[in-house]
Amino acid sequence: MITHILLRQCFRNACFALVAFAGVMNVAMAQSIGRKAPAPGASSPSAAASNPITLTRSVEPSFHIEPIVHRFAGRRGETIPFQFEIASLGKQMDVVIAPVDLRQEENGIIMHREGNVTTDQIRILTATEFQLAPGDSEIIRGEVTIPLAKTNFLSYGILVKDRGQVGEKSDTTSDTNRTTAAIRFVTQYVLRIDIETGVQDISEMNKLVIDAGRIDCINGMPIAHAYIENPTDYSLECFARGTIDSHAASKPRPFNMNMPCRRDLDGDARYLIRLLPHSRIRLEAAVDTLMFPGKQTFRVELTNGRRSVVQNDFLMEVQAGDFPALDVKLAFLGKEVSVEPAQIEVGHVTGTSRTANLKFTNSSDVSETIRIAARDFDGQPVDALRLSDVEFEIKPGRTKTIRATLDSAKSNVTSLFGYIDVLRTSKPDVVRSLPLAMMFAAANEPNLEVGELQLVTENGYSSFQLQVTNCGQGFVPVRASLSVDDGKGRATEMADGYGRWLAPDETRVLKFDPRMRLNGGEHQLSLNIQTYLNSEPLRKTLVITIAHSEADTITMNPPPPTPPAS
Amino acid sequence: MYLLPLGLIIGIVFSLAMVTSAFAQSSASQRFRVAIPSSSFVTPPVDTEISAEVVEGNQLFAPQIWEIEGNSTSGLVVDFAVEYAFRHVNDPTMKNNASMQVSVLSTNGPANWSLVHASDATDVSQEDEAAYVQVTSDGVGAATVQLDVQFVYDPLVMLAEGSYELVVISSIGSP
Repeated sequence: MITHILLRQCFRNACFALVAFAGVMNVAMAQSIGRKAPAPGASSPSAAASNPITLTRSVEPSFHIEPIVHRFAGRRGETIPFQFEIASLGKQMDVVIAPVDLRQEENGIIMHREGNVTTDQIRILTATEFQLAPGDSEIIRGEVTIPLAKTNFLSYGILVKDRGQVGEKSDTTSDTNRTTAAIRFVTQYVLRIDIETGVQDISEMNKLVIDAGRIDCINGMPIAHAYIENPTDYSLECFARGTIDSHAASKPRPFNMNMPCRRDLDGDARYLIRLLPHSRIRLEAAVDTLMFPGKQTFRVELTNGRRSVVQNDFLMEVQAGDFPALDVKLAFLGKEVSVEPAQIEVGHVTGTSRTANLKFTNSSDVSETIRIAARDFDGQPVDALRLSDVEFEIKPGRTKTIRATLDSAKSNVTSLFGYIDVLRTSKPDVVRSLPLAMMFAAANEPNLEVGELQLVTENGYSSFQLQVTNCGQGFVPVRASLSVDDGKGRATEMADGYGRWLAPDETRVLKFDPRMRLNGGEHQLSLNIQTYLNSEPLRKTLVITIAHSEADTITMNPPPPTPPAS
Repeated sequence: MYLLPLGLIIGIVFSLAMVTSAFAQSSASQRFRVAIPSSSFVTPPVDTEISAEVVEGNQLFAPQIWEIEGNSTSGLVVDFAVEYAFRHVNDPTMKNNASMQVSVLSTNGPANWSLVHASDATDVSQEDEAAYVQVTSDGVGAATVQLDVQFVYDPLVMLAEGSYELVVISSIGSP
């Protein structure tokens, strides 16, 4: 009994002590990390540290709809209730509500399809026509029944149309002396109910068709494109994966493809492919994998989870120079060995690094021995550049990194230019000379001579070209862009140069091909030529007129004064 | 009489052991989760219907402003479409071309706003009376969108007198 009392007393005191001690420790901890009890209404430190999204509203909105899209999870045969709230905040609304079929545009955007509704899975239980006074809100209630379909995703649409308050029409018969035009605006909302069915057996997906797979050159870089056609009556969600396989690539690296409308989304949401019934959408992906010249197989696979469900192969042949922006990053030594970067800059001045890493990749089935040497423009060895290895072996499918380090003590000039010659000993006739710039004490001053922009007409299509010459003593990077604005909101952007270095006394013709027939009428051309990123770009603006009948006749107005190239 | 101090000592030792144990392990946490539904606010132009007298040259109506705001992380799509060109209110067989151009005047918030289809026009001579322009966003944000609609005046075509009407349907949804 005494023991029992003793234990109870001990436990009670222990609890008091624990609470007291914990309180003391809390205060101590709080003081030690400088934390204060937040005042009412004060934001937490974590909230302040993060980047909250704030939208400042300058105009009181007229309509509010919540939500735009419902996303449910449900099983086949299940009936799911839903509701949307619509509120009028500023004006009278005359609302009509109806289920609507959805369609999908080529870029993946989902809109409604005008006409009769083909589905009877969705039912609206509240009034489908009503008026909403300012300040009023209305709940739209309904239910959707999930059909017995072998698909993992379903999407249904509801169209909420505000017919507005149309005023009395003027008496058109009495006003016979005037011709008038009127525009009536109708605002409508395409609400969606998306359902994840959780169905694993999505045999409908096998019917998807992948076609028109190709690798395009856009802004000098390879961009993969393919189309998916959904011939079924059901929506589907999946992911798409591309690979480019060639005899030279020992292990092709897959890349995710996305719908254009999701191009700018973050995370995995970017790669979600959503296919509505009877839609045809385009997929795209920037290709950052090695593309050796030669025959390639572009494979597109649609995946559900980790399983490939549908795939198609597209054969193509890549030529050297097909992707000029890629050539700036990569240089190929034959069809199996590559080195990056393709032009090497080291230095002690701002914007340069003392060391550059040259990454060699051997995609062949045999070991390759590489020999490298640095030389100046006169062919003399460059002592100021230290290479971590000058002859080395790369095993099949492996990479090797060579460090090139600048030694300023060995030079008394401000800058020096030359090449790093790369030789495959197995193929002595294959030598690549990588441009080399060494900045010891001063950045290179570009001296670029820019010719006049010229129109070239070929097979009825117009393009533009421009000649640039490097009149300086060192390499100069050239990045050029040309924008053609038709004054009606359509601007065509073109690029060339992509930062590829121009050797002293070298002349290059930059080409800008819009790849389409330009509309007739007046156009404004804006040319921008950038050398080093910290240099002032050269800008030119021209106004041209293209005849309506023949989009090939062009008149160039006198160009405005051109700022000197820096 | 010794029970209280003894209990206190045991209690302190016990609490020290507990605190040490608690510090050695992970601290307690509580998760607060708030669900924010996707919603959108739309302010169309004040006037549901605008009219103007047709004079020589393109009849340009005053630009129409839409204020669009949405909190969906997938963004919004704003589509302006016409199904028919300008039609005479008394005789719909008499038509005149319409052109539309959309632009984003200002934005607010992290979303990027893109002109998917910046301009379009009907072509009555080709029996193409449909036209659309489209703007999309890719996240949470607001934008002021301007729509310019033109009554395309062709001096070679003699228009029947009277009133012509065009219906522009603006559709707001999620991409």
